[in-house]
Amino acid sequence: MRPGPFTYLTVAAAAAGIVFILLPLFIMAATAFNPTAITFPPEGFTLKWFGAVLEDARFVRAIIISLVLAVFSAAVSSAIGLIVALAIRQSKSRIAEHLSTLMLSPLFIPGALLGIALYQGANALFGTVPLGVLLVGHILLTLPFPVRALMAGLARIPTSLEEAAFLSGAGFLGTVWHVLLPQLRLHLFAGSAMAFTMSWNDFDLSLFLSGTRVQTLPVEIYGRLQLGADPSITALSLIVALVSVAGVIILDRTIGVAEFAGMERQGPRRTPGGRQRSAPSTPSTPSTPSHPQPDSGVLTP
Amino acid sequence: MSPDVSLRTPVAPIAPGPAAPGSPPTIDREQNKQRSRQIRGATTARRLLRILILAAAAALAVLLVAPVLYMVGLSFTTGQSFGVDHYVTFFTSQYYIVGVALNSVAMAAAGVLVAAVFAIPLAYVIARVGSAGVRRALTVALFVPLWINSVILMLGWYIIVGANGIVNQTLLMIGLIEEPLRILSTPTAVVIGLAQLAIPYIAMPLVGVFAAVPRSAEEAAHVCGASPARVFFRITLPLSAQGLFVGILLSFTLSIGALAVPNILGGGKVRMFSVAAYSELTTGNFGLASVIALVLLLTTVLCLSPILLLNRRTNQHKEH
Repeated sequence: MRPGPFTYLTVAAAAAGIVFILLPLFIMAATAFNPTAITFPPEGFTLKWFGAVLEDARFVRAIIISLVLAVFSAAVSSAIGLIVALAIRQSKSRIAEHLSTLMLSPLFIPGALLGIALYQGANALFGTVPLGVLLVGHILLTLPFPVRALMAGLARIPTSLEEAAFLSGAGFLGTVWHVLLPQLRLHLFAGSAMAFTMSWNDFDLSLFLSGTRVQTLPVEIYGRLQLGADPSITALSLIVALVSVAGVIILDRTIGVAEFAGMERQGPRRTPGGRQRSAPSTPSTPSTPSHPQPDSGVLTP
Repeated sequence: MSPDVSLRTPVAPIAPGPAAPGSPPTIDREQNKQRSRQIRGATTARRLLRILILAAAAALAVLLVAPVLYMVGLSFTTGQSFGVDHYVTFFTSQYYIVGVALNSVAMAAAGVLVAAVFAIPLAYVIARVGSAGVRRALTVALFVPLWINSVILMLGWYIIVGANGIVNQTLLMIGLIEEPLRILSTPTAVVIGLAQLAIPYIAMPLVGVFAAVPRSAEEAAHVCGASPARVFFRITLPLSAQGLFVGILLSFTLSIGALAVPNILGGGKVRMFSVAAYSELTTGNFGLASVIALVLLLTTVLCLSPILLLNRRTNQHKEH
């Protein structure tokens, strides 16, 4: 079909959508270099606000808290996710099925709701909200991502491989370690990267569970904004955003973001990172139209 | 071989017993079934996994289900005893029903609508663009609202729509307005913020769905004389309705529970469920906060159930 006015209109709307998505980020980034205040266009160029961020004890503490929280909850939820995904694959029991549904539920229930529930529960038990509750909240929040990624990854591995390993004398743990895990590497990576990002970015849940002393980075930024902001918060935000952008790029290079989101449901699909591998060593079954492979749908239900 | 093969036997021979040479191998179905069961899960590992499942279920019950149940309990507690006062307060007050509940629905619906206007063309372009590089760049851009902290994104809008923001500066400069418009702390600002966060949730499922629409159907309509707009609205979009429906419900659900957006762009003046629950919680009114949270939960579940039903139906369809 020849491009007509309708095509141009569609492309224009799509371009407007991209601008709509990216504009706030660029504006925010530009103000970080403004010597005077958070305004656009900037009235000069300075890097002093980045120095101010590092000299601000509260900011540094919030960065450390968020980092530790994100690493820890990503590690724990990936470990739990691996166990649960394996358990669901092995046993066809009802409990396992319901468990996976329950584990995926924080994906859809608002973070604020989970925060309110945990806040009230902790208050009833301890009279206050201990730091551990924040960690528990973050683990619950991040759990769906490794579970989904690993379940999708496991579903791509034919059971015949495990049977072959078993016949060759491998025990259960040996099979997991030598046969399943090497193939799940990318899914494990994707799941934990997603978990890390969700914890790193979370505001809704953390607002309820952060105390006055221990605040995560987004809560700290929000609090500082309330007090009247100088460009050091946009400088800090730019640092935070760049960490996330680096994450997306790494993910795109290793798995491909479209693959990751389950967007490329139709058409020939490649195995995760399959382009880098030589064809004979790729153990996954070739996709055929009669056997659609489950997508790695980490984000879409 | 005896039928009660010890499940601890590490490896069972594959050949179904010695068969006379020349004669076709006999297959004992019962034995085969048992062996494959034996292979699939060594018993100790099975037992271990079962224990782990139960442990995980117990932990989740304590950490996820118990707090929600406790919240239900709180919502029905007046003073020290059972009572529905908090529900009465919520459902009879103009402030909560109109100011919070209906307002949340309206905000989320408007945000999703604005998002759809951008997301549908964006998904269509990603699905149809010839260059793989452009497709990849657009996809990465689409991921930005998902991967970047919503507080940071809202900070960007805060700068744009503020009293000295670029919107007001531009409008003042070209002389359209005399005084800076008040956009920040109004519903408009909240809708803009919600729309930005909703775009990927609508566009992502749509990309795959648009790509799956048979090109032949579009070409047939074109050959029959339909204009590109007609082809899109009469062929492509109806065939993608299910994907669009899923994206819209999903983003609506996420929008209605939003907290960062109304907090930062609404400045506490635009009341949505989470904002209202937070302020009740900070004033120590746990019962009412619980009621608000539960109404939000119920709305969320109601919005998501069509997606779950749809998924179940497609899964059943695949199995047959």
